[in-house]
Amino acid sequence: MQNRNPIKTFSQGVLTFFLLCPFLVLFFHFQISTRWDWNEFWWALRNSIWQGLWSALLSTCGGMALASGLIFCENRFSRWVNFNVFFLLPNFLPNLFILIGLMSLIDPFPMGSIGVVIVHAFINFGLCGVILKEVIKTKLSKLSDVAFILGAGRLHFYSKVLWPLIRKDILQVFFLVFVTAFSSFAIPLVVGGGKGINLEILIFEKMKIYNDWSTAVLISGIQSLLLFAFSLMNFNANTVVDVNPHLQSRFLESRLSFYVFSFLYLVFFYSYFSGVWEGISSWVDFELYAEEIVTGVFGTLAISIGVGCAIFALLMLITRLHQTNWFHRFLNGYIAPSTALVGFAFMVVGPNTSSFVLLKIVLGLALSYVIYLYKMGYGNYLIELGRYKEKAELLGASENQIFWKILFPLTYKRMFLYSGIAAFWATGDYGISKMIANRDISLALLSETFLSHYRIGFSSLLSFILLVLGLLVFLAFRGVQIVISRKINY
Amino acid sequence: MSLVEKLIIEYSDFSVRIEKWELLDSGVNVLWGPSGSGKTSVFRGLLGLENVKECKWNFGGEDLGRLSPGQKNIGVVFQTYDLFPHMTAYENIQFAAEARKVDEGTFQRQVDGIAKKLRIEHLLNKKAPLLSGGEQQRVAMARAVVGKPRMLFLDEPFSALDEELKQESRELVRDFIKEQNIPVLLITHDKRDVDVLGDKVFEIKNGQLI
Repeated sequence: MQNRNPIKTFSQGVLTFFLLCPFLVLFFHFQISTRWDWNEFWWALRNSIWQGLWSALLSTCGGMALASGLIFCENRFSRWVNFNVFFLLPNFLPNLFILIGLMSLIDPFPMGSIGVVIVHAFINFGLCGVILKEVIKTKLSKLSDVAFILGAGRLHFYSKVLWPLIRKDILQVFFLVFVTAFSSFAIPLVVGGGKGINLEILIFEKMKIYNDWSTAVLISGIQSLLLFAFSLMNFNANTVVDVNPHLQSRFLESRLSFYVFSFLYLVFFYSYFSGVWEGISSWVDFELYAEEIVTGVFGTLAISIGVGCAIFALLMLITRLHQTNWFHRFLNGYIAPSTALVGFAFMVVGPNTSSFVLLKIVLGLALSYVIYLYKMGYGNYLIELGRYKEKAELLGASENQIFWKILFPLTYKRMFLYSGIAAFWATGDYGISKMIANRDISLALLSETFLSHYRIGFSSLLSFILLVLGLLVFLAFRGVQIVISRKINY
Repeated sequence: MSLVEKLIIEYSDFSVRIEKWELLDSGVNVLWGPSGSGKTSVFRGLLGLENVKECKWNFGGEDLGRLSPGQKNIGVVFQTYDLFPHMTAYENIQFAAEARKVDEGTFQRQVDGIAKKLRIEHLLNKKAPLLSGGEQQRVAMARAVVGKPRMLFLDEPFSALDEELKQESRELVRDFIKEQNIPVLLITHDKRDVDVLGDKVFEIKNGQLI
């Protein structure tokens, strides 16, 4: 029987409380709305579902096509370039860059639900493609060779082997995009317009424009319940077949798909940088907005560095406390609250002076990112490290020794990497920031304001500065990691 | 006799180079050699799963080297059997028959005969992952021979079986292929496979026949 450590239990409680605080705020502010409008609610719910379904459908179909393109390029060029990273860029870069690039590319951009779907689909093509490529490689590469040798045609193979074997995975990918698009805030905020209002935007409007908190809380509660219900869906897509070391998969690769998607992505980046160039030519605007830009740069740096440090602290705490099953189960099963809910929670808690607003944005973003990073691989890595911890326990090491001598040296590089990534993402945030802040305190907010006023050139230029700042902060975290590596010599 | 010419496969750190190779067009040809000698590469090259542009394979007056793997009409049993996991044993065999465009009546006659000879009648409605190693091997064999391929390739077909089952399986396969009268290329590193099944043995080392 393990001895209970009161400090550890208390810390676990504090961390759990922090992660649950948006839901707790929602619970304590819950009241029956007197201004409830069913028509408005159904309209927003319908838009959320419509946007979610179409985004998921386009992303999954595009992802399936891209997967065959990725298999082609892995067969041909994998020795030289990792194309996964290239196609995952839209998913990795903050939404602001994608919005600017697409709005420069498609002019006039179709505002409303169609616009929202286009942006979601473009962001998720790469992610769906890479996931499905891995699924295909794991489940189908060898079987496609067998079918090929047996003389099966492409259609025969697709209908009898491919679809039955990976339809659950396809459904899972579809559902992943659906949930993301259903609860999307940052994208409909810019391109949704009046016709594309979804539940998240409705919550935002109720709070920020109409001061109708009771309705906002009620909608947020319903949305959280829906997201919880979605999270219970399980497609059991876990049949794994041997991976073929000689991946040829002629049925599965497509040269055309690879070239079409590469062209699409290159055109996108060209459009983005054309926008940046256009922004440089309107240099005179810089003088007009010099004060806002300087404030924005400092605000962005404060948010970005703050989020990086907060994530580092949270990951360290999680590593230190990751010794009980319930805690791991809690972190794995935890459903991240929506942007609107996080924004709302941090808006109503504590004072709203400038420094507090910055602190609240940092905490809100850290709360949103930490679980994502944990589920992205950090949690599994900690489980892998369990065997070392176990050996150390058998040797009689104390918890402090286990953490500082074993867990920390094995995890600090990842912690710095994830903190750098979170800091990079934070530079481009305008969703949670907009909910909490009353004015444009960061470059991302400023850029979003210009974008909403169709000043794409200037917005692009600001976003490019953001990109540079984000990379610098990311590199700063890497730098600190290198210094620590030298100090502890591990 | 069938004649393979210029079977050349280049990897970054290894190459297979066979200028001329005469294979029996009846009975069992065995390609024998240690691990890493290039057996599987030869196997994949002949099937057309590797890039072997210059390779010619004269089989009964037809150049199989120019045909795609499906057109070659070769039955294959892989080392890991690779049955389609979502299908039953019967559906696996049926898939091959459909792919080879065997009509329904012929397929029914063939499948009954093959299943009886390979002792898999009682397994036909079982899903592939529920079959034991030996059962999977026999179903894979049935899938390979349905539709009468012009040749049968066996890639280490007994290596996944336990010792006791290996001998029984070798004898069953030997009798079965003799009865089916399909020429076979057996790839193995196990001398006992050679002793029980081999009519002509080719040894391979460092990617070359010796």
